Amino acid sequence: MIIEIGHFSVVVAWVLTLLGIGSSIAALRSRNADWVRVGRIAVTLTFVLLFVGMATLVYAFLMRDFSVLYVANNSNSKLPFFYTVAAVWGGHEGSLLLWAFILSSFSTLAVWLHWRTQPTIMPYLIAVESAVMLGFLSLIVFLSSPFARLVPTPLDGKDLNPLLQDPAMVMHPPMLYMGYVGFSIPFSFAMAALFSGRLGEEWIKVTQRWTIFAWLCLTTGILLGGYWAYYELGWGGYWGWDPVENASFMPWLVGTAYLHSVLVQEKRKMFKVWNLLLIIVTFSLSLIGTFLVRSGVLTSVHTFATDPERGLYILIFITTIIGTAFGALIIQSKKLKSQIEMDSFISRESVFLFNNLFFLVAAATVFLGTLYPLMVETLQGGKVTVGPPYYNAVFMPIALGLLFLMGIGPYIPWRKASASNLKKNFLVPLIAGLVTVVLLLVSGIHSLYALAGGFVVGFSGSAIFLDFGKISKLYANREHVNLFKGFLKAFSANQRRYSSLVTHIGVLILVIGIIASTIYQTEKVVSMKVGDTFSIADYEMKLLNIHEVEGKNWTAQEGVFEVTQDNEVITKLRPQKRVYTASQSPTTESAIHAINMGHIFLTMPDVSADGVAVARGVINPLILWVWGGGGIMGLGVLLNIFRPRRREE
Amino acid sequence: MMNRYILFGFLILVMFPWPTLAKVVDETELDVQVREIAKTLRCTVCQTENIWESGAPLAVQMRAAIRERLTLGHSPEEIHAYFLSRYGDYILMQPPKHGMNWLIWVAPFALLLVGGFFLYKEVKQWVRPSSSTPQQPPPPLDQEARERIERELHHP
Repeated sequence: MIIEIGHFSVVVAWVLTLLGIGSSIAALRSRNADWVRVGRIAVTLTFVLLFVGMATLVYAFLMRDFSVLYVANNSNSKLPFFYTVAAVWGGHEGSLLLWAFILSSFSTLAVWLHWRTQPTIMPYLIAVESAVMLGFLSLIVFLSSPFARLVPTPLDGKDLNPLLQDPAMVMHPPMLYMGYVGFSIPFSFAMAALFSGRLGEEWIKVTQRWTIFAWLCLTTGILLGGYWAYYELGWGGYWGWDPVENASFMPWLVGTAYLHSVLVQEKRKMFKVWNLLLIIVTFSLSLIGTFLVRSGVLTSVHTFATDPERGLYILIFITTIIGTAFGALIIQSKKLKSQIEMDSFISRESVFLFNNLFFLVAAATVFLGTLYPLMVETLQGGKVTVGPPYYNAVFMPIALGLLFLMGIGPYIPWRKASASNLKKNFLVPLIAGLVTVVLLLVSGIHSLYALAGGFVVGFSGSAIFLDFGKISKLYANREHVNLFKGFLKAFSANQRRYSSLVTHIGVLILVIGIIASTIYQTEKVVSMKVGDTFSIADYEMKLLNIHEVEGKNWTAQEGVFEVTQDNEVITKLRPQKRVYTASQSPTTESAIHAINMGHIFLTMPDVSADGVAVARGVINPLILWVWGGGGIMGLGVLLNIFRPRRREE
Repeated sequence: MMNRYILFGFLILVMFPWPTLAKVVDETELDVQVREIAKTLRCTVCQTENIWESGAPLAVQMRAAIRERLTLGHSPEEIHAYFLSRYGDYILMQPPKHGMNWLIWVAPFALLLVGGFFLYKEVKQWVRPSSSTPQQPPPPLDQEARERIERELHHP
């Protein structure tokens, strides 16, 4: 009965979405503000109803109501409580409902938040958000309802995919979706600007915080996905250039380009069409990302739902949204011709343009690589694989170029850079970059990528630290305080700029982690019996015993490995080979010990009947820098979002 | 006299080559070679996983096939050729550089070059010729800006 209430709520929400679109159109035609108020009520009620819908589904999962098809397919009576909630978005139908729910909460928030300041934009905002919502709710109501019943009721559910029973996977989809959906707000404002003809900088300023919030969520979502792959898939890597990972990476790349490019319009009122184009592409890629993952067009390790028919619907829906957006952009583009004035090729404006070029080429590369196998299959009937070796070869140079621009961008003035300015800002970083290369060479590192990476990290990093040093000193002298307080004062005086530099530092740390853990990863696989030892790097791993362990919904063989270095016991690692009871599917649970900013990563993929275990050890140097860098990036964004408001904002 | 036996026993305990009992296992050169090759080949029943990382039965068989061929003295190139002849281009983790595949190998760099060239030309065009003399007088401040400067000067 409860689940039918949820179903009914979502159907009513679907009707209200139509009302939202209708009332907005009525508001624009009649110029009567009452219609906008009706729209606001529709948007708000949609949120309430979808909340009810979500709640009933969660309730069905918690009550383990296997008469609901979706619950029966994605959970089991023995599934732990924690994962029972996560199972709500463990499949296709539930993830769509989650998407719609997040969309409605963001729309509602945006409508109430900007109601007073953006009255003319409101009907457009409500119309665009409702249109996107209609697309998703139609899919849920007509094609893939999570509320369908299953007759007869099975005794037990099929269980959630064991790979998804992981803490990182609980948070990964919501974060990713909040990122995707977050971009819908700047997208809607951009559409509002296009439809209303108010094509100034207003929409960019209003949505500035939304944009970085969406970017933060998307970044966190992607990193959580990597973290999950690292722990759960058991091969010791965190990024496999899998189509599903690529699907989330593409909107990130274009979104990052957009994030930077809007600064030019804010400061110099140029590139209006370009910014509209970028946000349209970003949101389109967010939709395509959802579509790629959820339609089963690209089959990959992460896709657990496949249904091409729904895919066709989503394709039509996305084409409509993208088509309308681009149509409006083309129609309005004549009005958008901004007076482009540049004083010099060597200026921050150009650096931003090249930043955009690199990000877009990166996105195009991922797009092409992801869709190329499909293309070959359609055109030639053959099959081809585009895997990590391709991306590593092609993506690295682009990424290094971007990192170099990251070092230049913040320190090259707007309009025109003079020779003395270049010397003042870049001489020391250049030397620092070269010194880094020499230091790496001396310490025996000869990999070309590591050296090139070292140069750009040294260059870009020292530029930022030089800047931090200078401003700290300036403020310390002016306010007669110590350097640290000077830094804090300088930071809060221009928090927007310096918080983004903190994010840049996070990127550099992340990159060091990626380079070190990719190029200098050591790996070894051995077959061993209890009492045997194998050594990897300068660690010795002795298999003490293998015993059975029982979890709530799985059984496992657990190997106990004693890790020693220079005859000193460091830790005991306990990798498992698990078999989940309901699905009888095996997983390898990795055991990890952090040491010297790196990881000792151990799995035991197989144990034979006569007690021979296969052990796989991986040493990932500096891998903590990957997660730490991600954390610092996030900190920078938070400092940016929660900066004190300044008068001109 | 007992002491002597105890001492003798103790000496045996200490001097017995205990570590040799704990067998040290290690990868052979062959294992490493198998891994190198396995990492370049795709597991055909999995999704974008190489046969090294995959735990699928087919991947296990394919690893065994690589090992067998290596022990027979086949070179890595011959093994690649063998798998290529059986499965086609699909088996390689990256598209081989021939025919249409050149498209995705060249496209990123071509895009960068063409885009960069185009941008350079556009920006050059946008740069106003008059701007070579940067000592233009700044535009007069409007009232709002004046007020703001005053405000911020007096209330820092």
